[in-house]
Amino acid sequence: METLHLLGQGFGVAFQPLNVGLALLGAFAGTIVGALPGLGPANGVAILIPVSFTLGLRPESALILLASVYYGAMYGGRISSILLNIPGDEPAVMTTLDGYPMAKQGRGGSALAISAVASFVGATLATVGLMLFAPVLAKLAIRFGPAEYFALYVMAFSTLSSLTGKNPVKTLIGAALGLMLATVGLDSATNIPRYTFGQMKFFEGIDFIVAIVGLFAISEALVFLETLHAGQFVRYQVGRVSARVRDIARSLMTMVRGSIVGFISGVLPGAGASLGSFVAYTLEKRLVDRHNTFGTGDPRGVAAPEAGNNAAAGGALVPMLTLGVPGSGTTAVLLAMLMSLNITPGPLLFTQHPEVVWGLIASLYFGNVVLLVLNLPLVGIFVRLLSVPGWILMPVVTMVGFLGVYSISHSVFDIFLMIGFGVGGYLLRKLDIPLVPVILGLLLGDDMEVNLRRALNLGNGDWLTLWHSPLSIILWVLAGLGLVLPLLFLRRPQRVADDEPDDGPEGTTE
Amino acid sequence: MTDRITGITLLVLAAAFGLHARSFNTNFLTDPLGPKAWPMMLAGFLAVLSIYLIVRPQHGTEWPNRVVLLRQLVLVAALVGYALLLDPIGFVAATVLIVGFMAVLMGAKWWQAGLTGVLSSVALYLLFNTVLGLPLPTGALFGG
Repeated sequence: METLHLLGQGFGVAFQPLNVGLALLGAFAGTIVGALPGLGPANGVAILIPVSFTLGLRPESALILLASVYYGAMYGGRISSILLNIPGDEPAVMTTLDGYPMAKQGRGGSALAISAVASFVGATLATVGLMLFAPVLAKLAIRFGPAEYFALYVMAFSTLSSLTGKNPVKTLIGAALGLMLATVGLDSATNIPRYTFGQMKFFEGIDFIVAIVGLFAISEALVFLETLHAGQFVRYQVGRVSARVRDIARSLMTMVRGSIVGFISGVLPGAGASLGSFVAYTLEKRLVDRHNTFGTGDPRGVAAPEAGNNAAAGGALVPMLTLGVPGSGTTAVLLAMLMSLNITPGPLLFTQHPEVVWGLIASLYFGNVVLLVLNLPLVGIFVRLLSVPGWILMPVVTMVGFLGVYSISHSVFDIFLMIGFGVGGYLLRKLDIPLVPVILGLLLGDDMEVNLRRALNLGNGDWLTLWHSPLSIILWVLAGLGLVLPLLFLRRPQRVADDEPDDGPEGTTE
Repeated sequence: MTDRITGITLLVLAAAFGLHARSFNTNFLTDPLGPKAWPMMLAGFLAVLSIYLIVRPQHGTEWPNRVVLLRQLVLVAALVGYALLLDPIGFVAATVLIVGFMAVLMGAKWWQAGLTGVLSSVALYLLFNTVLGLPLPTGALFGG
C-alpha cells in the first residue's frame, strides 16, 4: 500500500506539465541518439547534461529528462542494428544477430515492431522491479557504515573489471586512473591542495561534466575521423511497421524471461545492459531454439536481447539510486549530474527527496508508453535519420557538447581541459582501456577515500576494522567472487561483431 | 608492443604520482591516514597493474595512418582555435568556421560544409541564446 501511495505522489510529480514535456522531449531525443550509428546512450546523456543545467531544472525534472533520454536511447539502439547491421552501442550488438537477417528477408518492419514491444515489456518490467526492490535495498543500505561503503566501492570496481571489457587488467587501470584524477583538488579533511600544480581552477577538483563530455563526445569525433565509413548512411525504406499478433504472442514468454535476466544483470554494479542482452539471447537460444532458427531471422532472437537490454537499463538505476554506485556507464553519467546538483544518491535519497525517486519511477512508466508510440507508428521518422550523413551529425553533436560545457562555466580553461580529456579518451580507447571505469573512479574516488579514512579513524587506525561487521565481510567476499568467478566460469562473448567496424566505443557500454 | 609502452608510461606516472604525494604534509593530524596515504595506495595499485601489462602484453593497437593522424591533429588544433576565437569574433562567426571546417575534414564538399556551418550555427545560437536564455559571446569585433 505504501508503495502505491508513494507512486501516486510520484505521478503527481511526473504529470506536472513541465515534467511531461521533458519526458516527451527526452524520449524523442533519446530515440534519435540511440538510432544514430555510433552514438550510445552514455554519449547522448553526457551531451545533454549541460543543457539540462542551463535550463535551470529542478533535480527531479533534470533526472526525468535524462532518464527519458537513457530509456529512449535503449529503444532507439535497435533501429540501426536491425536495418543497417550497425549497432549504435554494445548492448545492441545481440539484436543484429536475428534483426538484420529479418531485415534482409524484407521483414524489417516486423523486426522493428517486435523489438519495440520487447523493449516496452523489458523496460516496464524493470521499472516495476525498480519500484519494488530499490526501497528494500535502500532500507538495508541505511545500515552501511564507512567500512561497508568502502567495501562496496571495491566490489563495484571488481565486478566491473570482470564483467565488462575484454581485459580485466585494463579495466582496473581505467579505474585507477579515474581514482587518481579524483584526488586532484583540496583534500576534504585537511584542505591541503593535491595535484593542483598551483592552478586555482583545480582546487575544487576536476569537473565531472567537463571530463565526461570530453571523454565521450570529443573522443568520438576523433574516432569518427578514423572510421569515416563511406556509404554507411544509406537511405533505407521499411515497409509497414507491424508484426503478426502470432509472432508477438509466440515471443511473449521470451520477452518476460529476457526482462528478468536483464534486470538482474543490470542491478549488478558495472555489468549493465551488454551483459543483459547477451545472457537473455543465449538463455533463449538454449531454451526455445529447437529448429536452429536463431541467427537466421527468428523473431524471438530479436525479442530476447531487446527485452534484456532495456530491462538492464532499468536495473542499473537500482544501485545508482540506493547506493550511489552506478550499474553502468550511462547511470554513472546520471550520477554525475545528480552530484553536480548537490543531490547525493544513497539510502537517504528515499527519505529526503522522495519526489526525485518516485517522480522518476512514475515518469519512467509514462515514458515507456510514449516510447512505444514513438517506436511503433512513428518509427519512420527515426529510420529516415539513418540517412543523415556523418559530416553533418558529428560536428553538430560536438558543438552541442562544447556549448554545454561553455555555458556552465564560461571559462576557456574548462574548454581546454575538455579537449585534453577528449585526446586522453581517444588514446585510452585506442589502447582498449575502457572509459566507464575512468568515469566511475572519478565519480566515486572522493567518497571512497573519505569512507576509508573515516573507517580507520573510527577503528583507531586498525586496518582490521574494514572487516569488522558481517555486512562488510559479505561485501568483501562478493568483491572477491566478482573478481575471480567470472574468470573461471563466465566467458564473455568475443565481440560478436568483431568483423564490424568498431562503432560503439568501449566507453559507451550501454 | 603498444601495451608495453603503455605499461612503462603508466609505471612512470604511478611513480611520479606516488612521489609527489610525499609532499602533502600537515602540521595537525586529523586522521590516522592523512592526505597522502590514499594517493600512495593508488600509485601502488597502478604500478602493479602496469607491471603486469609490461610482463604480459596483449595484442598491439592499430594506429591510424599518417593522413588520418594529421586530420586528427588538425581537428584538435581547430577546436583549440575555436575556444580562442570565441570571444574575439563571437559565437556565430566562430561556429560557422568550426562546423564548416569539421564537415570538410569529415568528407563534405565545400558548399555542403558551408551550408551546414551556417545553418547549424544559427540554429544553435537561436536555441541556446534565445530559447534557453544563455548569453553567448557576440564578439568584440562586432561590439559585443
